[in-house]
Amino acid sequence: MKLKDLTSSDKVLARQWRDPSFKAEWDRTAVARAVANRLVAYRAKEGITQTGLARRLGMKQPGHSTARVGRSQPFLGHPCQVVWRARTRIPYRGDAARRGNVTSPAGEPFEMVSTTVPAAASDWPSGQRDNASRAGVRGDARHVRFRNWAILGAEAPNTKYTQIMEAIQRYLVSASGQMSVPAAVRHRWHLDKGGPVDVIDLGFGVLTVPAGEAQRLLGDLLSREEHANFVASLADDPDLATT
Amino acid sequence: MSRVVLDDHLLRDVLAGEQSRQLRRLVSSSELATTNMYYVRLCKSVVGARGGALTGAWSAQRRRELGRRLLELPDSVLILPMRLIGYRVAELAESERVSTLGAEAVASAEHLDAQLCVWTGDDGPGIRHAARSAGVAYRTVST
Repeated sequence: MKLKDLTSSDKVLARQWRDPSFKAEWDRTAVARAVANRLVAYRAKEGITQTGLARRLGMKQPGHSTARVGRSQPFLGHPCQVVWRARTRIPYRGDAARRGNVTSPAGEPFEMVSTTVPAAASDWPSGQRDNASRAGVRGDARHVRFRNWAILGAEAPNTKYTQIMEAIQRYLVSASGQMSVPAAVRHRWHLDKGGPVDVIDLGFGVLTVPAGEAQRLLGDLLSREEHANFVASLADDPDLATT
Repeated sequence: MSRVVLDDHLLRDVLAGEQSRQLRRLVSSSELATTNMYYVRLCKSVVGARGGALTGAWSAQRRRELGRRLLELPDSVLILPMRLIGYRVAELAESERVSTLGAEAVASAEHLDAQLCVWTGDDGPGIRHAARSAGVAYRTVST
């Protein structure tokens, strides 16, 4: 048989998608496939075996078997444990129209571990909720987030104060307008006993940086050299040139 | 306390906290002023800035919003309104053959009885000459 006579995997998949039961299974395991693919890519990049990867993850080899992970329901305990223990950030780009039970609010691509929004947690079977909880996943009515994630293989410290924060955390603002700063940030910024921070209201967001750092952003936005070049470019401007 | 009129290069350094020892000494011992045209030139530069390691990945719109915030001048930095010096600016631009920017810098320093301070790398002979003609102290500052 010639290569051109073969049916592409996309075509096969498109045909299989017409089967509701296949589609349901595909949707159900979407995130798990993303986990499995990421682990395979990581293994290939690092040139390590499954056993080697297991060693890095602090797990026994079958625990992260990509085949097993790929078949698992995403929010059952196992893939979640892999993600959590590996401190793995797994880009999972979904499409609300296609993914059914794993959608983003606006139907836009999203990253699974930063803002995964699956079906309402209340819809999960009770076993899933329990496993997810044990695996370090917490969910409310709409959101599920992983703790302690980072790029797989990154040397991410994981102590009380220096652990990498979730991509998104929700903080309450008091009635008087006060907002706390996360403990890890307080420690990194030497604010354990309190102190000032710089806050810039950018309209689309509020940027909080260590005290004194806000003005330095101007140096990043516009370096001396860049400004000097801009001024030099105005040599023929009758109003703004330095004459 | 003496007054100094800073050009846009030195103003950028002050706002960004990137002051040389010479500029820091000047800032700590003087009341600061700049001019409308220097300020506009700095704003134009920021509006078109591409950003560095931290802000380079931001969208242009967000960089501009940040720039707008960062360029908000503290009340301690004085800018004379054109209603006070507009006519004098026109006179200097005509008689000294300097740009509007240079004429305003000299007129502001003259009005405030201030020293006109410019970055060494942007020392314009026209402005220097106009300052001397108007009896304004002119000084270059390195960064």
